[in-house]
Amino acid sequence: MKRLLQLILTCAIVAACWPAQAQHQLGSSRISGDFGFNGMYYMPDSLIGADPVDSKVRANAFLNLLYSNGGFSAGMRYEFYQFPLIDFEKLNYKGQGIRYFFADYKNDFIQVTAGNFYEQFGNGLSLRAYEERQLGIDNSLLGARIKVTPYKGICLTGVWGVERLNFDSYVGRKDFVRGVDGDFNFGEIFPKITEKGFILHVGGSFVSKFDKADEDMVITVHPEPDISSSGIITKDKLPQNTPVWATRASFGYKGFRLDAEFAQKMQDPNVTNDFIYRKGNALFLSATYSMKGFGVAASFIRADNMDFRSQRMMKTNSLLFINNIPAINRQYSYHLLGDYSYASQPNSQIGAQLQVNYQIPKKSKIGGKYGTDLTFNYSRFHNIDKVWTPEAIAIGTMSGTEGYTSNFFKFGPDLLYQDIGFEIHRRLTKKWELTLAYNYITYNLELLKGHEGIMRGHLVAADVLWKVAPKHSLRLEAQHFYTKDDDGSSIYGLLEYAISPHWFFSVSDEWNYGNPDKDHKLHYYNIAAAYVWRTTRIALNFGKTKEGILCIGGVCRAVPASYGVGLSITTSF
Amino acid sequence: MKKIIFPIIILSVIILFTACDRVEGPYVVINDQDEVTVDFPDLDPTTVFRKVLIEEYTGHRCPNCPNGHEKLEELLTRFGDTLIPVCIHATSLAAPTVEFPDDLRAEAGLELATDWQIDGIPAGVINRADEPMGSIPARWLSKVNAVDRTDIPAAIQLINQYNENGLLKVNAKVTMLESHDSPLRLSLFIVEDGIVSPQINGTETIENYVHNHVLRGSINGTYGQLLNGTGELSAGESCLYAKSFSFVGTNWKPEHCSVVAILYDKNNYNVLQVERCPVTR
Repeated sequence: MKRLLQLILTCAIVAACWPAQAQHQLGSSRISGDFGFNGMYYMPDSLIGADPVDSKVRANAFLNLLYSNGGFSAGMRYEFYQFPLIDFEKLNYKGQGIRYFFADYKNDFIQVTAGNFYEQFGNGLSLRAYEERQLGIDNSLLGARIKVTPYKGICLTGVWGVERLNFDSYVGRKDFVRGVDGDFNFGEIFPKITEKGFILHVGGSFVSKFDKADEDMVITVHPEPDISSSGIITKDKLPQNTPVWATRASFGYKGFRLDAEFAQKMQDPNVTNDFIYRKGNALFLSATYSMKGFGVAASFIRADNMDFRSQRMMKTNSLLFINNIPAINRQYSYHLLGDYSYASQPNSQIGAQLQVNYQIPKKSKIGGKYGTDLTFNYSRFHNIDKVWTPEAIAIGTMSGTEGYTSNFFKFGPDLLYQDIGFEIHRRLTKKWELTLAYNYITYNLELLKGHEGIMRGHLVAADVLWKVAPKHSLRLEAQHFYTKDDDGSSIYGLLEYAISPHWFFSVSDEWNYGNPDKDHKLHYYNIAAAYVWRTTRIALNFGKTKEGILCIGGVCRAVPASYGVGLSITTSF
Repeated sequence: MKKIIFPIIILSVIILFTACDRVEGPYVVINDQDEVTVDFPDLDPTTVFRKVLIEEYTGHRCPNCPNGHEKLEELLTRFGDTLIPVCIHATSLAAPTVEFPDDLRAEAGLELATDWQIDGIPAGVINRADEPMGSIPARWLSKVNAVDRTDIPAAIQLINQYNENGLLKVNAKVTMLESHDSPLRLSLFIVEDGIVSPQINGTETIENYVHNHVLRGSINGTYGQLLNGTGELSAGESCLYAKSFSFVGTNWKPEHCSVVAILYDKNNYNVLQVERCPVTR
């Protein structure tokens, strides 16, 4: 406890002494950055599964520094994750050092970057090097990037680098990524297109990975039903250069917009696809239409064998992904739906999402003085249809063969996720706002979490905001999740009092009252307070976290159960 | 500058488009049987023991199964390494659930349990000579004692080669010490000790229960393969046999695993000899 107090004091002093002005000007030079500290004092709780940890006080900390002068900029990030929060330790995101640094120069014609960089081509089907700190993902590339704008509306990008793998050394790596992308915005090239209200955008990319094959692979085959045998994929049969190409287009006119991207991956036998040689492909379609008070958005995605990583033997969730197959389902912030967030399945998913928004007009009989917002949402995802090839049937495994054939638009037999949702939001008076929501979720526990069965559950949620007085507000969130499956039903309540812009206080509790095991009908309570001063935020919380998953944009990681006191400090300058 | 940028871009694209390997099939070479690459020491028939196989059918949600495990350990203390255990997690009580998330079942074990019609656990099968298969723990000692240890029909020698890439090669030499009329099959199982996973014991759940001798799978099929292709071996004749197996893609700990080689009669399944050898030794 003494160590925790020391830690809290040190961080509070650092944050308080930090210069108040955001960004520092030295002539034409400018220095900016941000700092983050997220620490926790862990206490064991055998009931919720929070195991005792050796080092009870743990923290993640980082400091970003950015120097810029005209077109030149340089930056670095120091990360201290030597004794990280247990979530990150389980991801093996553990270590310390300057793992992100770069120098960059750009003018109207060219931009060059050396060092670490993030990049995305199109929707990310071929390349998405990004950081998502909460998930412990940092797929930055260490190498070089060139962007050229030879003509207004045309941007050509080339990248060449090695992907970051946690705190592992880059030295001795036998894999790297290279790619090019061309983006053509016809609205800028031919201004008349824009003047007439049209949007026309096309692009294409080609990304290739090199992964040295220096060993033969041994696989298990079943040439007869009760016979296992070994099979060898010799190293000369393992493709070392595997590309993905993608092409995309966007079209828009007034309130209508259509986006499409198709990608294809060439032979890439790897541990996540059971070493099949089938080409992968992905299709992403999105159409939106909006007018005053009404909006509709529909999207479709199909991904077949599109897990594309720097190393063929990497199967750990989220590590060394070169591309990203986005999850198109609606993302919710409802606490009780957190455990049933859909994780995008790059190797096998087909699904669609529809969302309709309608505002009942203001000052109408039904819409009330301020209008009423209605949102309807439906999404459904299946695995893809697969028929084993005769060769795969003959040896009793897809490994070492083309694997399967698949009818492109046929949904596979297994439902992965379905969400039917309805939300109504209304400002009742100047001081009161109300949001009511209902969701029916179907979640394939076996394919998405590795548990048994299908979870079907109903969520009812209410969110009430009361502006008590100028700068004072009280928010109440109440949720009930009813299910007979998995961990059973839960209720959740949150009360948050804000004195803007400085103070925030909240208490919350989740009660898993429907857990089939009577010893696990537990409460997960949390008390939190936060203070914000200019760009600095200091937050303290105490409570229990239920074991589950955390998903952001369809990428998920496991969250272990924990109990203790947390301190979070962020600031920018 | 702008004049040279396009040739550079075009050149880059050409280089990148060549960054694609196209591999022609067939991609995999199937090894029906591997080549034995070790030298076995000369066999002294007077040093060969008749070892006995005990297959214990069990499950992590079976309240009485810890009694079976206890009985098994008692027998192992009594008979030492001349009794070779394989714990087969099968029946609905071995299926994983939220509270018992680990799947300790093996395809081979489920097939055996179905074929032997094991429906109540714990159940023990000794040398596959029970009729019907499967007996309660209280009978295991008498059934082990019923095996004629003076009758030693065959010897099995095992040498495992394991490398850091997770590849195991099992080398076996079967020597017939007596003549045997029926064809012979050799099964190679992998068993793992020290798996920590929840287990029901009566009404209580033991979270950190240590499961030993757990059947993880078979290297050469549930019922193994016929020796010499025909299964026929005459007295004094030896047969060399080797199979490879990759641990890649499994969560098994090779240092806790052993290979159990079972030589049995193809027609009546009776076990003639059994041997066990750690994977990493």
